Amino acid sequence: MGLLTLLRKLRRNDREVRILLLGLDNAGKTTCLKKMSEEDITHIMPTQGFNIKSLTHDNFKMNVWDIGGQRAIRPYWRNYYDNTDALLYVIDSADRARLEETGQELNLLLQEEKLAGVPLMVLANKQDLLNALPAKEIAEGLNLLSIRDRKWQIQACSAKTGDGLNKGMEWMTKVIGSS
Amino acid sequence: MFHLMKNLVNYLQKSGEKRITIVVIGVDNAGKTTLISSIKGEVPMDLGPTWGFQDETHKMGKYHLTFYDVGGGDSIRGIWASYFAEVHAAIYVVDAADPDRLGETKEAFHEAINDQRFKGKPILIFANKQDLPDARKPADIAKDINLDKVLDSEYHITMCTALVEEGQPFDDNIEKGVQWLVDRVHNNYKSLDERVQRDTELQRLEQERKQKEQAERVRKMKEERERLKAL
Ligand SMILES: Nc1nc2c(ncn2[C@@H]2O[C@H](COP(=O)(O)OP(=O)(O)OP(=O)(O)O)[C@@H](O)[C@H]2O)c(=O)[nH]1
Ligand SMILES: Nc1nc2c(ncn2[C@@H]2O[C@H](COP(=O)(O)OP(=O)(O)OP(=O)(O)O)[C@@H](O)[C@H]2O)c(=O)[nH]1
Ligand SMILES: [Mg+2]
Ligand SMILES: [Mg+2]
Repeated sequence: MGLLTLLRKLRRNDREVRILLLGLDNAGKTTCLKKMSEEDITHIMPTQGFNIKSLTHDNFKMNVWDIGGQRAIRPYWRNYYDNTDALLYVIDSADRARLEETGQELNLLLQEEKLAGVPLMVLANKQDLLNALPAKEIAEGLNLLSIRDRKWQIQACSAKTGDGLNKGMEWMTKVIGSS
Repeated sequence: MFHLMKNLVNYLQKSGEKRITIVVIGVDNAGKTTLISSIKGEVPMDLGPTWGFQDETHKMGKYHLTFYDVGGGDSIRGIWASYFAEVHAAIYVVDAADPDRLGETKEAFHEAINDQRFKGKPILIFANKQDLPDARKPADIAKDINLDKVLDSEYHITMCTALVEEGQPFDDNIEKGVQWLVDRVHNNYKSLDERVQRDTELQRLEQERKQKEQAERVRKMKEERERLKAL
C-alpha cells in the first residue's frame, strides 16, 4: 500500500466530517435530518437558529449543521462556513415558484471563498408530491450547469417517506472519502 | 480556487503539457462512471446513477486529460449539451449486453454528435460489459447505432469491460481506445483548441447573461411580495 493510500485510510477511519445543511425555509432540511437519524417527524417547527446532529455512516462521523432558512436568518449562514467538508442543499422540488429564488441563494453560497471546491449535493426533496420537478429542470433552475470547480450531484428524495436519503448519504461519504 | 486554477494553467504551459477535455456520455447504466475509474487505474465503486457533474483528471504522455462525467438517465440527459462547447472530444459508452436499450442509445448518440457545439469533434465508442454473456461485438453495435451515418466526426468503436475487481488487471482495450482519441485530438490540437477556447468564452458570456436575468426576476418577485405584504 502506498503512503498516500495509507494516509487516506487512516484519515478515513477516524475522521469527523462537517456537513452544512442549507436551503430556503420550508424546504424540509430539519425533516430530512430527523428522518436520517430515525426520529419522529410529526412535529417539526421552522428552525429559528440551528440544530446539530451526528450521524455515523461507513466509519464517518458526520456532524450535520441544520440552519434555519427563513429570509431573516439567511444572513447568518456565513457564520457556519468554516471547515465544511460537504454542502447539502435542500430544495422543495414541488415549489416551482421559488426555484429561481433558491437558485440565487445557492449561487451566492457557491461564490463564498470558504466553500470553494466543497462538493455539493442537492437534495431534491418532497418527491412524494405529484408536481415534483425533473432533474434537468432543477439543474437549470439552480444554475448547476455552469459549475466546474466542484463535484455536484442531485439526489431525489422524500423526507416524508425516507426514499433517497440513504443514497444521498452514501454519495457524500464516498465523495468526501476519496477527496 | 480561481487562483489554484490559474497556477495550474501556468504550470501546464511552462511544462509544455497540454489540456484535453473529454465528455463521457451514454445512457444511464452504460458504465460511464465505472469506465472513468478504470481509465484512472482505480478500482470502480458503484455510486449509483450520476445526476450531476464530476470531473476526473488523468495524465497521458504530455497531455493532461480531464473527463467530465454527467448522468445519462432520461431526466438528466438533456444537460449533456451544456458541456459540449468546452470539450475536445467525447467518449460514448454503450451497454453491449442490454439489447433492450439500443434504440434509446442510438437516438441519444445522434442527437449528441449533431449538436452544433460538438459537431466535427472526434468520438470514441466503447461497447462495454463484454464480460457478460451475449454481449454484442463492436461490429454489431456499430450497426445498431447507425455509426455509418456519422459524417462529420472521426470515430472509432472498440470493446471493453470497464468493471474490474480489486487485484485484477484492467482491460487493455480501455487505454488503447483512449490513446486513439488522444491521438486524434493531438493531430488537430491547434484548431480544435482554438474552437474550444472561443466557444467556451461565448458560452460563459451567455450563462452570465442568463444569470443576470434570473437575478433580476428574483429581485422583482421579492419586491412584489414585500409590496403585497405592506398592503
Ligand atoms: N410532502 C412532503 N412534505 C415535506 C417533506 N419534507 C418536509 N416536508 C414538510 O415541509 C415543511 C417544512 O419542513 P422543515 O423540515 O421544517 O423545513 P426546513 O427546511 O427545516 O425549514 P426552516 O427550518 O424554516 O428553514 C413541513 O411541514 C414538513 O412536514 C417531504 O419530503 N414531503
Ligand atoms: N458486468 C459488468 N458490469 C458493469 C461494467 N461496467 C459497469 N458495470 C455495472 O453497470 C452499472 C452501471 O455502471 P455506472 O458506471 O454507474 O453507469 P453510468 O453509465 O455511470 O450510469 P449513470 O450515471 O446513471 O448515467 C454498475 O452496477 C456497474 O458496476 C462491465 O464492464 N461489466
Ligand atoms: Mg428547519
Ligand atoms: Mg454514472
